[in-house]
Amino acid sequence: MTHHQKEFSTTMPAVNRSGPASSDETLLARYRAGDSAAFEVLYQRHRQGLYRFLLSLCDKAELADEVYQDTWLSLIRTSSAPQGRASFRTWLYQIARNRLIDHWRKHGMRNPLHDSYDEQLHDLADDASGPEQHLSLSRERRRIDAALQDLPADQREVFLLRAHGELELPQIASLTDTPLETVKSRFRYALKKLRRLLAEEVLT
Amino acid sequence: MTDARQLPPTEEERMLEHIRQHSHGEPPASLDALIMATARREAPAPRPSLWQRWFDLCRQPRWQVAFAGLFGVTLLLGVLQRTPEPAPRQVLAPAPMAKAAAPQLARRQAESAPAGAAPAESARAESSLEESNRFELAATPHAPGALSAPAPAAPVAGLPLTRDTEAFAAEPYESLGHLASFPGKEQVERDTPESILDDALRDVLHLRQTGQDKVADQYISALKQRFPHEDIDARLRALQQP
Repeated sequence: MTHHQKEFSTTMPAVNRSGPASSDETLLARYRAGDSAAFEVLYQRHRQGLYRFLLSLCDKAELADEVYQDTWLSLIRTSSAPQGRASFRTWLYQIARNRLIDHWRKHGMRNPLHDSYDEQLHDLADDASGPEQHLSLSRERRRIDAALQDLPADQREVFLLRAHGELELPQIASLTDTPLETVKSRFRYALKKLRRLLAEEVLT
Repeated sequence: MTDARQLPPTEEERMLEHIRQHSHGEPPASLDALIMATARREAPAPRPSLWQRWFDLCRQPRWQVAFAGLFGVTLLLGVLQRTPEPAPRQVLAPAPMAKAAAPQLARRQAESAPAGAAPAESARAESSLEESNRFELAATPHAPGALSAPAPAAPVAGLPLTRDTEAFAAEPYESLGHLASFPGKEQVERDTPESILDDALRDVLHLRQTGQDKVADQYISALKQRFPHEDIDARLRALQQP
């Protein structure tokens, strides 16, 4: 736990009061009923995963900060709630993802998440860049960052949603409005590539 | 049944866990503070209870005015419902009749008084006559003066009896005990039912002499209801004889 994490935890006495058993949806409903302590619990639960998801997806700290802030402020100010069977977690990451796409559109950037490409071709093309080029990196963290950035954007998105958002593949399919089989395929290729990149460290 | 958590982690799970462990990146403290402050500031106000909302409503000036107005209207309606409609006529109207009956009452009191005390008694009776008659007429419908309600109505003869007169006529006369607590009760106690009836019949005669036969007939009807055991016609004839 970093210094900032410790500091943030000590400034949130409401966490213990609200108890760990409350679901995200319950906490959101309590916040909407005026219980601001419920929001603190909710925020602490998801702040790290959401931030890391955004940071890994856009690879720019400033942009991650902006989208992260917009996401939470949007959640605070809206009166809507997760619809149907969607969980709060899916809803939260969907808001963040939409905000990021809006930012890309606003600045005239091509949305890498919507690129279509040949999975098999990409899988073959990846053979050219083996794990050797990353061995020179001194730290595992930087190796992972580099490996993630080496993934195609849509594969990276699925993998990050799975890793940091802790979402199941059907939830990711729903969130990204993508067929489940496509999501499974993207995750499988992302996993395969990362395995190659990090084979030595992960398997040992 | 096998618990899935007891199975060794798959390669996928190991990869995910490895990535999670070695990932970094924390939202800046300033961002945390900003978001939390915004969340606290913009948190919806807790909804007050029903009583609290009612209490708050009552504290608003415009609702206070509305409630006060409603209370005032209710009070006014209550007062109006309790006010007897013919009250002014009942108090003011019998006065001429009382004055008309004054000489008769004074004469009767003078006859019943001892001879030596006759002048003084007569004067006292004269002085207290108007007051006692006004009391009898205005204070109680059982008093004979109340029966003279048609008298002031002479200019408008032919009007129906007032509600109080009808109530008086419908209730048989039993005693004068209910007058005991009124001022001037000595005068009232001296008036027996027979004398009250006689006075009333003299009033009837007076009405007939002044040409108000219709009012006199209504008066007699009321007396018959009031004194069902008395022979009103016979008494009237007796009074007509010189």
